[in-house]
Amino acid sequence: MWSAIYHDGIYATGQKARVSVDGDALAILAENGSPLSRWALKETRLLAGSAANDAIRLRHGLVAEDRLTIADLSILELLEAKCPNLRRTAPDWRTTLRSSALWVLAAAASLVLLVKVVVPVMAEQFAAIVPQELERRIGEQLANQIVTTFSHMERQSEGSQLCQNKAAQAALDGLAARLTEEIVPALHLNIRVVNLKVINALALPGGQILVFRGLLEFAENGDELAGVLAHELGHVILRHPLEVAIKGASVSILASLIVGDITGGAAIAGVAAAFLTAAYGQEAEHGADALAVSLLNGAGFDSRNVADLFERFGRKAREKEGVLSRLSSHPLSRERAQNMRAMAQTGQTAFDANAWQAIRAMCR
Amino acid sequence: MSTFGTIEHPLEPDTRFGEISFVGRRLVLLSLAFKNTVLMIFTFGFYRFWAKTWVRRYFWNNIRITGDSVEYVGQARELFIGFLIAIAILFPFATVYELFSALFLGASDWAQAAWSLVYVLAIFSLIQVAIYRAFRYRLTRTTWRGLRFGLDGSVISYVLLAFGWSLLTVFTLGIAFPWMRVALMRYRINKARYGSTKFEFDGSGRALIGVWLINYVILIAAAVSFGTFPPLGFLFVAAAIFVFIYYRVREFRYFVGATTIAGVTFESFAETPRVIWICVLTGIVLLVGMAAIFLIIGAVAGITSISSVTQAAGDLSSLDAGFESDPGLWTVAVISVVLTLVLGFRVTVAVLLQYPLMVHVCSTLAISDPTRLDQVVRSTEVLPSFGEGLAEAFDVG
Repeated sequence: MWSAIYHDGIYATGQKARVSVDGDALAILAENGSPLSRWALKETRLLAGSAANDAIRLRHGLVAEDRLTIADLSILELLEAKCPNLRRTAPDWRTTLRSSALWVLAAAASLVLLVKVVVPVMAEQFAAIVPQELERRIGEQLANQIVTTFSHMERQSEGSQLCQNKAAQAALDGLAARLTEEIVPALHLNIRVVNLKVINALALPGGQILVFRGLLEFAENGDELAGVLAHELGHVILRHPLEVAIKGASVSILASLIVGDITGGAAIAGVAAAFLTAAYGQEAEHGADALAVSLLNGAGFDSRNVADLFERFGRKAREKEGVLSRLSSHPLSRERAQNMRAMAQTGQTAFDANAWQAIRAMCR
Repeated sequence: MSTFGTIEHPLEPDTRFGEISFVGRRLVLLSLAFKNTVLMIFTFGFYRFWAKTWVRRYFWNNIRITGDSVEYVGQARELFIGFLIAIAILFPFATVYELFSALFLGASDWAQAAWSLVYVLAIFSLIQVAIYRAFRYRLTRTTWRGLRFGLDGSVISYVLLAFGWSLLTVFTLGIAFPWMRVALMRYRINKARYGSTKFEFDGSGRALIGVWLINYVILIAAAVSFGTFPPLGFLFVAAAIFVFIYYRVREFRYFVGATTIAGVTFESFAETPRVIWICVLTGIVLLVGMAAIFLIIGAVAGITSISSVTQAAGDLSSLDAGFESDPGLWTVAVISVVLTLVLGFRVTVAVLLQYPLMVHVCSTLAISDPTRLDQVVRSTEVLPSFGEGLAEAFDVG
């Protein structure tokens, strides 16, 4: 028999009581012996989260509001032995699962709808109306982010070194201008060669194109490089990069809401990651391929070598599975190579021997 | 124990102090913060509902008022479901809004301006709704002596009140700020209940305007001196932080003093120097800790980059070797640095900021005639079933 204070959950005044274990229940009696309550032992729980031993404080299940306070700490030993749920603070996980299952599904459905349907549609609409100046600034920021990320991955401490050579740069800019002047006159372009060994080229919003040194070394001749350049120009003209940027931003904002971290940094990183890992999607790649070949044809260049580089790269990627981000945004199916070959025409070479030499030597 | 004695003799003379205390142990909070942070990181944030609930259990369940424990009876599951509801309902709304914005982007300037005003208003209202609902959730999940607290009043009235006062504060260039704070607190306290007994709030912004104006003048001085002489600006910013803490302590004491229930009055003797000292100490520890971590990172990074250079020199034939192994290593390094920083930050804030603040606030809180609370009877109000969904999304919890 222990003396206690019993709060009945109806009045704020506590009353003196006596407590004893009676069968599978805790019998709570008033001082005069009249019963106040009976608590099933499996429903008797300890006040959670407090290590203070000023008293034993008990609650009655998870819903009922009556409480017991027992000054004599020695009752704890008995309770530990008799009450199986003494330290449990929640119903078992099955109850949690059952009560939240419906909302988990609803939230998941809402998310899937958003990411798969609404975000792509929205991105396309937005991409068409974003002012050019804004697009240019977005591209600038992304370019920096991506170059930094790659530099870290290659353990280059000092950001990136841009490869600069007047003749080579002029050759690249000149080729891009000749390729695009028919379809989009005065297209704003900013082609930069970055001294990193990753085999890749990227088109970013605002006409930013990054070509990495690895690609210059991987290309066997100028026409192959011109093919990659034309492919990236295809993305720029079709405004794919901006769509990807908007999609990436939306998805990472959603993600940060779910994970509970709302910081701008996460959003920018998310967009950069979208460019590094994700693809534009098969449809966009086919579009860029077709446009690339027709740009080359339209300007009178030889487009027969374009498929070669993509095919060689695809082989290399398959050989070394798990290799990160080497043109992984340009997965090459046999179909794509065939399509490109089917459209290919003969023509002049893209770079003369001097220009090609200069380009290859750009990063040395 | 002496705290227990007060229950057995509820008609003791009014001792004012010592009736309210915080009996939590710092070490328990430390291990709780540590465990919560680790689990939160490894569950991509999904543990946060459980983490929050355990932290609240710790802080609530260690408060003793006249010897009886305050108790947090909320369940993590309720917070989780509230969050899911916010996702299921709020996200589609956000999307519809975005789609409408796309239509407006091509429209005239004034249409765009009007649309962004709608956006600002919507976000503002949602944040206020979230604040009020979170307050209601917490009160209805708090019990003392077996009776729940509660919050009446309507979310819409609160949003309108907050909107009106915010406008006024903007138009008066911030002078009306204390009046806004008091008006919102008045609404919240006047609608709050213990059992079925209402709290009452009797206060006016006038009492706080003096302290606020000091703060105001220093902020203006900071802004002006940044334009002319930046070092002085930094000095003023530092001063503004301290004066703002001073304002908040004064405000807290005023709010406590203006609150009554069933004739029971409260008084806080929280001390600004103590609070400032706690904040400064936390700041210093965080800064020193961060500096130490970055020094270690720098040292480690230096060693590894040297070794990778020597490795590369011996293996020139395969240009790709370094790169292939790097991403994994790089990821591990980044994760461990982030883990250390986040863990250090959260544990420091819990143990050096939250804990001593709680102890100080409780030990300087006086209550008069708590026996008058004996008459309180439970309320029959229906409880909200799920918690804080919006507050989660807007991070106001």
